[in-house]
Amino acid sequence: MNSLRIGFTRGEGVKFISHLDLMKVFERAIRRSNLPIAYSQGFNPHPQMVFGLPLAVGMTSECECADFELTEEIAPGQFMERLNKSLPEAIRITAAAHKSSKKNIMASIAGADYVLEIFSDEDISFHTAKQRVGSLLNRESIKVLKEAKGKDRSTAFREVEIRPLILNIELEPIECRPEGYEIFQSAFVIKAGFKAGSEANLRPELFINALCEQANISVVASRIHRKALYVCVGGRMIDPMDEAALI
Amino acid sequence: MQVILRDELLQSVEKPARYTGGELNAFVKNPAEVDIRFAFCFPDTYEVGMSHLGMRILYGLLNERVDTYCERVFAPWIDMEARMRENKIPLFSLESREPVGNFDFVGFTLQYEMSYTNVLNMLDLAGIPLLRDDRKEGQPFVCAGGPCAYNPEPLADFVDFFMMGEGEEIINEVMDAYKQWKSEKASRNDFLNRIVSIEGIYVPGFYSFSYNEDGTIKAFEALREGYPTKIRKRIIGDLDSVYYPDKMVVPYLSIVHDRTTLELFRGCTRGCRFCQAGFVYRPVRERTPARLKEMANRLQDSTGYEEISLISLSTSDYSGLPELTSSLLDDMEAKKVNLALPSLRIDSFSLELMEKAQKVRKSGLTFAPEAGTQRLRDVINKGVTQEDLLNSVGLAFKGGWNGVKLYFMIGLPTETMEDVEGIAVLGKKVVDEYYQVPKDSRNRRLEVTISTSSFVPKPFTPFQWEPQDSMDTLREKQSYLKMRIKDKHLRYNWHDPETSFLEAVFARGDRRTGRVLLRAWELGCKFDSWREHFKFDEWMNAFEDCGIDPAFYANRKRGYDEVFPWDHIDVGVSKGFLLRENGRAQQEEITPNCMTSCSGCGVASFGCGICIDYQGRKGGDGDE
Repeated sequence: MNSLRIGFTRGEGVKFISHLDLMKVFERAIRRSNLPIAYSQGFNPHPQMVFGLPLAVGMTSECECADFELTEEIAPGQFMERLNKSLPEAIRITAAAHKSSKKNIMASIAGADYVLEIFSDEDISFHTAKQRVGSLLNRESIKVLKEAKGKDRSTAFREVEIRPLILNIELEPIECRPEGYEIFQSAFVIKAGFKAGSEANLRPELFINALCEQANISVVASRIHRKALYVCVGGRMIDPMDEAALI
Repeated sequence: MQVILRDELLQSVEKPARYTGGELNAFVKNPAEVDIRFAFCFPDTYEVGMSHLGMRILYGLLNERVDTYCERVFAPWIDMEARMRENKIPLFSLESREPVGNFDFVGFTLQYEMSYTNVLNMLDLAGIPLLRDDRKEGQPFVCAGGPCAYNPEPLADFVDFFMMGEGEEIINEVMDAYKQWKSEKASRNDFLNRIVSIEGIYVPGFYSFSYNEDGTIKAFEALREGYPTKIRKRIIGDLDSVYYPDKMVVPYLSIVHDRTTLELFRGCTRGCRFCQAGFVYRPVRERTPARLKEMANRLQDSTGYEEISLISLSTSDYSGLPELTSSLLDDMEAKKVNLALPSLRIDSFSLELMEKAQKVRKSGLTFAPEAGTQRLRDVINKGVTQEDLLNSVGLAFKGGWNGVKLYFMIGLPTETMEDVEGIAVLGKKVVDEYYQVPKDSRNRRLEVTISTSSFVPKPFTPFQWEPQDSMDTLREKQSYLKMRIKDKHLRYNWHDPETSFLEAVFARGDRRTGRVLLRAWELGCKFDSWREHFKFDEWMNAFEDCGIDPAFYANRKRGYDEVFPWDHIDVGVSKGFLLRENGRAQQEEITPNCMTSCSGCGVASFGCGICIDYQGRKGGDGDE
């Protein structure tokens, strides 16, 4: 068996498709490319591929990753080129490498960096915003309500502690507003590092809720971009495409 | 100018990918570099519209032209419509995201009557005047086609022109005429005058109706000499050489029919007397297996779909089926592609084929006897006997299937309570057939589902003169049947008669019923085929407000000499033949299918398909 890991981007054109639908996009791209992907056994054979942390509907990313099992040896560069030809423009593979680590990419993710563009209908100066975010982060505990779907599909809310999940936050003024966002009074960029993955995960929307409810920054619109994913190897957070993560 | 859809708006609606386009194989053109912009509108959701083969064909065909950009438009779901209206966002196309009101053509495909209010709603969202008389120079031409266009009158006040029949040729002729007209900067009316003589074009504004005192039509008249008074449908003689797309848009979200579709043939030889498709798509014209294989491979390479589906009105009747399927199964196996086979008649060949082709659970097989007794099946010319059905289900049970769905209609002409009871009796016989199979060779947990829909008399069928049962009668028959279905393995599903009633009104509606559509839309009716949005009371209010009695259209027995709203449309099948067929139905006489002998329906005048292939088998086209 030959395993490859790829890094890929998800642009504006595919930000509103679900993780499940993204998997179908890859499945069909693989079939179009005729790449030698291994299929699962059984009733309904599926290509053997595992994706990193699912991206929520509405976000873009430059750092998604996935592992593929192949039935034949193929150079990573060639794999990347052929699959890119078959994928829609809005998804681009940017890196590919051999992987010998048995660790499942999905289970290895430990952290993520995001760029949040936030827009407010109040006129808040950069200085004021910085103060408000700063005082929020100075707290030892930040509790927010998180939506949890019950077994009977009912929606319940439970309180979760998010402070320990926030690794770093930087507030910056926005340089250039996207088309259609001129109507808002103020806009900022937050560069954020959160814990991510199956053990502890902070979704960016929850942090934005905390800004609204507890930092007095009324966010009425936001755009979220994932900048980086990390896996934890030997206590260090590293890029999933890094050699150390692949071996 | 593109419309701007901010993220928070798209995030607030269900399935935002319905509105964002950019799918694989969608056409990307620079709108500034084309002469003609065509908004192809499907008056239902993205998932329903994207599943429609006709749209996929014409979308590809129009975009083959370098002078034309055809873009897709679907009805925004209720949540999206609300956000669009709040934010003053007009109806836009998926490709360029530009307002539909700026296009040259806004074309609707009419697949079912219950989508008509969505046509009006989409025009309104686009900022296009609903009534054709209110449209001004520079506004788009609104056109329509599809099976419901064969009775165009209910939409005649809203549509500038209709295209009758298969669209592959006529739409190019219209585009050519438009390009010429546009370069000459002539008037709106001038364009319609140029195309009115193209075969298959119907310009409703060039004609008027007068009525008798009893409400029936007195006459249909052209407003000027020279306008054609018979509008003949268009048809493609040779399906092998006609355009078929090499690539199809692959949606990001799951749609209703999410697979590669191969159209085996058009038309149907069977002549079931209730079935409009069986008459209006005549004659049968097949593609060759060689052409289909070529199409299949190209489409698989361009889409990567996991399933390929063979479609037609009656797949078992395709003469090249064994050759085609065995070759497709070989080709597709290696690519991990499944073969889907809808509308197969069940026999040992098809069961074996299904076994090989579809890796489906052996749960449900569908049969459509349509009527419960042999007498009534003869009336509707459904060439299926009880023996056929029981043999088929027996084979299926032996093959391991344990679920059977049986489709019937209630309210068919001449139906009695005995016929209704026959449905329950036939259901029970299917159950008995299961117990005939030895225990060790049948699967456990039998489930037989009986579904009844309500008969809707349609134009261009032998039953176009017949009344629909009243809603009360239909309900009575349903509850009678409910009582008669007793076996614990039998389940019964039925349709609410309200929708069928409205279908019956608009299927055979005249030009005056357009006012009801408009009024119903004003009262908030839309997405009428979606149960959760169907507002029957508002429909009844609309009829009342317009002073129109729906029963006049749905429940009235028509005289044989009555002028119908669709009499000026020529689908090739003659009214005389339909009348003869109506007589044979009353006599409980069956009519052989076109493979056995020619019954002289009139479509041989098209000079193609089965009418030619089977010439000499028996007689010619002996219609009066």
